[in-house]
Amino acid sequence: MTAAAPARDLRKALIGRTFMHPVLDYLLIGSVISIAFTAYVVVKPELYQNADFTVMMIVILLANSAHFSSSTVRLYTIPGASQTWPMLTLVFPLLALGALTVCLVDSDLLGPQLQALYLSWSPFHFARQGYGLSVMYSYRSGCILSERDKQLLHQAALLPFYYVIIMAGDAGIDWLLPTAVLRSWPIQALRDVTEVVGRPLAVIAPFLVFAKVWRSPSGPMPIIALLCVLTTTMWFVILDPLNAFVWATIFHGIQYLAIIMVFHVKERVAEPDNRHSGLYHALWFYGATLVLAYLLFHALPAAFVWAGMGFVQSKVAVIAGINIHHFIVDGFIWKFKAGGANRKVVDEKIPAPA
Amino acid sequence: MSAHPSYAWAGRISVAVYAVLFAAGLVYTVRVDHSLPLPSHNYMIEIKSLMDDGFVAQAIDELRAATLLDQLNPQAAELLADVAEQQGDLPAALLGLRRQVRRDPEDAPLRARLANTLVRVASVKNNVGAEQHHLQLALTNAQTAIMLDPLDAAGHAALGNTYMALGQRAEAVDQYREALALDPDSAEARRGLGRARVEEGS
Repeated sequence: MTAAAPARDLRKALIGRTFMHPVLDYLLIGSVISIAFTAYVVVKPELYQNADFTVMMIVILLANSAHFSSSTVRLYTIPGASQTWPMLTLVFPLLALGALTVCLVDSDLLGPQLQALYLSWSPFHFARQGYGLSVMYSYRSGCILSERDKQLLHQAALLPFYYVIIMAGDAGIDWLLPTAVLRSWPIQALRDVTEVVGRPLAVIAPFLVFAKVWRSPSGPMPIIALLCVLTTTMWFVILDPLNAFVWATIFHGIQYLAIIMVFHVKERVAEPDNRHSGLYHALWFYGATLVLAYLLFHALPAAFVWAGMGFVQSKVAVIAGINIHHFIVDGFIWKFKAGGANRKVVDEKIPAPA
Repeated sequence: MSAHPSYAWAGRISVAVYAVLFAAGLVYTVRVDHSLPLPSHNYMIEIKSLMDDGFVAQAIDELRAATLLDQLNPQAAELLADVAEQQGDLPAALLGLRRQVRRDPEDAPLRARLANTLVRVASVKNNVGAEQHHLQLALTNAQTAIMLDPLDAAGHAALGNTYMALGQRAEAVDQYREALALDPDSAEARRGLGRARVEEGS
């Protein structure tokens, strides 16, 4: 049973304790920017239908590709990372490259499996990011969620993932189960039910959890915690049917870049021998992610093409491989153990007013 | 950052291998590929430029790979079906159409087009078993097309073509007539009806 938390000012509790500034946190990490964009494209879909190719490529490089490489940059800039995770930091890159090469050598057989694995894992990654951010903002804002509420929030956040693995073609159960099983009545019934209730449930569930937590002794979660879960749902519920899902990956990338830079910068600035400003560390980190993104998404497939692989196979497999590498690295770098580097950033003291 | 002593060798090899690959990729980009210095996820641009340069067979191979591998790119299947059909590469066209139907099973004109292509593939097959299999698939797709949109002449013409391939001339003529009633300008139905009459006469 959760002990009653100290009473919190309602306005402050709802805004929550942000990392940068409430406006920035809500815009980038709460992804209000994507809510505004989604509302706009629902009214004017030509905005993305007629988007200039070069502009899109630049936006994808700056947000989406950079977000993938940022987890690698973060991994190698966490103090003592190679001591803490020697297999992940030193051996795993070689294993990943070896696995990618094997998939490319027999791309007809293994390429679709690699692609299906990445497409099945991707919505889980999106959903888990939303859940993780939501719990982190709640905790940081003094809303200590009970285990039961965490489970409910987790399930609410995972609903878009469940929807995708049940409904998607070439991924999820469509990839994992034999055709005969897919055509069986229980699976057909599951798909029919999911088709009808999946999307509305994914939208309503986070609000229900939010309301439940508000009525619990912990008091309300900050609204940004609700938004972090809700925006992930919105990307799958609204943008996916509009065939504008590429924008979801861009907003996911912006959200990820913002939070990972917050952690990197706060960690660096808190170092005793730090001589640089937060802006310097932010620019350094983002510059490194951009360079690595370019090398991973452009130079690496080009090297495979030069080695004789098909260019479509090389690009598709490298993208899938980088995604899976990112998902695995994320499972390590976002741990919040007591006393760990991440926990220190979340637990930072708010400066006393002058 | 000091590396873990047990795996330091792996770290050094990783750095060396990735450095070589990145350098090779950059050199290839600048000296061989002359591509945009942008990390393009969209290989379709490169495929279209292959076609513009006359390397259509190579473009079809790349489109085939994209259709099989990249479920996020519906344009690959569309372009593959169009280009392969124009080039007479029926198996590749079939792959493109099947992918599109799988993505949108309720698209009646697409089903009709798939049925027609299946009939064409069956007509050039030497294997009797495969021919029957393709014709059965064509029949299913043409019937589904009509079920989805009974007023679409293309579906009736496709069913007519399928019946013709199956040797059911009377049913084929009925379907061609139905198609012409719905769309008097249907070239597919006119051709089919003409063919049916010629066969009847001979």
